[in-house]
Amino acid sequence: MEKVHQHSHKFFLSALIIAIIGLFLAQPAGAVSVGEAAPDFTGAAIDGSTVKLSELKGKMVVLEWTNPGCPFVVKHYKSGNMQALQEELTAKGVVWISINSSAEGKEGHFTADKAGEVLTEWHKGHPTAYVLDPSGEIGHLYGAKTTPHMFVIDAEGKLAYMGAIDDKDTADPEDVKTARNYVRDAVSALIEGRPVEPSATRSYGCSVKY
Amino acid sequence: MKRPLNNFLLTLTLAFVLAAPMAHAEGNTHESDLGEARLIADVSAVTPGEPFWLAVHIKPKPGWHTYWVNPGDSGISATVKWLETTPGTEDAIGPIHWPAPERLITGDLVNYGYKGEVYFPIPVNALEFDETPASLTFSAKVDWLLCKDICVPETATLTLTLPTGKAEASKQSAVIHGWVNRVPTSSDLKGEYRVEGNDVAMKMMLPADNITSVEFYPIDDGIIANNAMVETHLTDTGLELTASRGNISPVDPLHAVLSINTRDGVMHVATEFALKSNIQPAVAAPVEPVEKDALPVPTLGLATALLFAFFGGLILNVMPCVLPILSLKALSLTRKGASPRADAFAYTTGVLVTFATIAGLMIALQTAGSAVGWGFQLQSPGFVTALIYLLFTMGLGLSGVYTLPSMFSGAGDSLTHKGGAAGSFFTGAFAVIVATPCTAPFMAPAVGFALTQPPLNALLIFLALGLGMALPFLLIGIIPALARALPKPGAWMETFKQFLAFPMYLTAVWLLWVLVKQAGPAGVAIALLGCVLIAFAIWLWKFSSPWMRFSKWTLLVLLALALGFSVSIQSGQLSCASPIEMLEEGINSEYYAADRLAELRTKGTPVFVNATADWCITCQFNERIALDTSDVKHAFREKGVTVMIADWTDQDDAISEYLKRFERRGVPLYVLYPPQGDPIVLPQILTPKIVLDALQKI
Repeated sequence: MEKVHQHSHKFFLSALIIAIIGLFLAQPAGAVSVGEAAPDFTGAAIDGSTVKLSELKGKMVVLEWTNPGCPFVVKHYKSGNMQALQEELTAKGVVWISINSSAEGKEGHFTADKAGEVLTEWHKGHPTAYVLDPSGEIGHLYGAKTTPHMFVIDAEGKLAYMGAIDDKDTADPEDVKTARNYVRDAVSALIEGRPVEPSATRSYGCSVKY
Repeated sequence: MKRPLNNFLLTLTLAFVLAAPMAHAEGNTHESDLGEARLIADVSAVTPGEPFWLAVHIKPKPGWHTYWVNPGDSGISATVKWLETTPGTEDAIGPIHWPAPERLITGDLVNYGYKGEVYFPIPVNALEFDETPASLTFSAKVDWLLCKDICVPETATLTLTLPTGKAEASKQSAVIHGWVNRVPTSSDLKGEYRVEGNDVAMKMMLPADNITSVEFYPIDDGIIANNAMVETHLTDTGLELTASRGNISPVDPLHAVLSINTRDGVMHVATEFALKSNIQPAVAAPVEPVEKDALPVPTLGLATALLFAFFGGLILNVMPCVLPILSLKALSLTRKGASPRADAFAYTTGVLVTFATIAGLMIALQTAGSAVGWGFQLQSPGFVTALIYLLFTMGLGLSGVYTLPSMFSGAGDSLTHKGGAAGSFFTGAFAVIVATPCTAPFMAPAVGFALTQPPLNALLIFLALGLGMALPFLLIGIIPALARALPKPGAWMETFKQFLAFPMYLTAVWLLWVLVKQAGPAGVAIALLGCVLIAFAIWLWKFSSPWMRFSKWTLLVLLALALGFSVSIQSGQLSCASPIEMLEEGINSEYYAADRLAELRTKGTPVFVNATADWCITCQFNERIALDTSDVKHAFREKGVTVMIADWTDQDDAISEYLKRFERRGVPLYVLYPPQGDPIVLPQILTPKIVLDALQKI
């Protein structure tokens, strides 16, 4: 009788521990704030490599939520604005990660093998890595709402800026010429050791197609 | 020779005839595959000195929507840029007056806008001319964004020419004024709001006391999370709104629009909330009694941290969670044949191993990138529920509902040496798990510090914690004098054991309170249901002799169910009122109001009235079986049905009146109003087929 008791209690304890482990491994929903550590993630890039944010400590990182079908993304790509910004900042040592969180069946979704067909001509950006996040896990972790939605992370891994790419929330490509680019300003401020101002703005664009 | 002249005269006449209506032209209509847009006015001619309304009319294809001045989580609001207007008129033209929006929900994102046709009224003040021109031209570049599941920005140059003369209402006057009425009126109503951690609490005095519901639309975006429910409470002192923080710093004042539904109709009010206090969270605090101390303190040396951890562990022994286990275990040492030393070491090992496991887990989670803090387990409603079950079960054992397993019982067990040690090990492990709700003040800084340290140091700190917790028992085991000092077993032990059940129950109650905040009343109900299942399983267990195997399996199944419930709480949504849930599915849903029903009927909108109540089992059954199914929801969406929920949980005269109309005295009542014709009353027990068949007919 006692042995049986012991067995079932061992079992119960193990089951409980396993259940408990399982239960709190569920990721909490993202609510990131400027000044706090940017949540770590692992993403699969279209070239097959894996991108892990925590491995990029020591470098500034820009996260750019994108969707090739969204008119607001097109505004920055067709005009060459986004590519120019990517080249300018990666030359300064910034790691630029474009993230596509479109779910399967939704606008902008494609698989890594089709990347060459989708990201043609001016659709092709110049990021350090282009990560596919069809499950939306990374998007939800950061609370990405629109495309484009920009996050600038400093070299210590803290979020320095999040929000819109610039201050002209329109779909007109002409506006990129006169807009104030918050991402460029944030990176310059970080390099020069100045505070990033503004550190959070309302992003504009199409909704992320989770 | 006469012919060409005749032709010329004819052409000229025709030109004049055709030109004349141009002076009364309505303006161009922009057409694209996604819809139409035009610029119109509420007058057919403009009288100088009299103000009038222009309006941009956007009519997208069905299924497409456009945005409010604050589009919400995504999207862009329409813009109007005047290109050319008759000289002298430009300054008189005002900005777009935005009609009150609707909530547009796509998954996690919430936008504010208009689901179909919209008229944006633009006021024009009284015009004065030295010399009144024959006609006035208004020409604007209008940009707007149409979205369905993709977005398409539209742009057009819309022009309107109006003659001057005696103003008469144009054909569009009525519809324009209808939309003007939807523009929120500025009011003297001002409220105040506070930001505390993740919550935003807004308050405002409201005069009307026949309010049925209030919708809140922020104009300043980002201070409040658009996709979190805004709870509204109507009290004697007015309106209270509770919302969640967004990620933009609070502004002062916060501008917003309230759409107030009363029994007489709806009022849209533009108002502002003054910022009264702004308490930002120091860090994402775990749900814990000792929140503010949970910040990692890097300046704490390792030695100090170890000391803190040790004392923290010691203090844990007097916490209500741990005390019963410890007391009983200590008393078990006084039995004959007990081997205090072995037991004490086994217990200590159990405690240390469990702490090491938890430490390992936290370190692993940290390196995997999760932000964990001590008590992070308690942030998980599933874990809290599991703890509630554990405490309840143990409490039942202490109360005597069933015989506690050997590791807990104190009186009269003759244990083998080996059995005792293994039992003690598990007692130690259990004690640690159960101790988590009762974390002591000393522990928080130490653990916080531990997590900033390299893994080895972190482990040492946790082990120090374990040592402190195990120390009293260890001492009793090692020092014979202490063991002898323990009271001798007797009948009093049974009473003491039963008494110790109560700290367990109290801790469970505290955890239930935690669960309310995490998973809402529904979550608590599910947890309590799980407890009932466990109690039932324990009762079944008693009938073990002939059907031992059967009852064991039943026990396991019931336990699995209970645990399954706790998992569903973990992943469940906050309990919201049904209209919000349906809104999330893209179905237009509102609370019942008689005039609103009439309004929808005149518009030809199909309406489904669901008269229900929380205490009505049939209603809940119908909702789960028939109304909440994806097929029915899809059909509601397809047919553009507006679902009106008549919630009769509390007494409501309006709903009683409605029920009387159909000669009913109670709920449920399901009525489907087709766009034209008589309402169809559905049976009281629904199946998806019944609902779908009825929807097919409209």
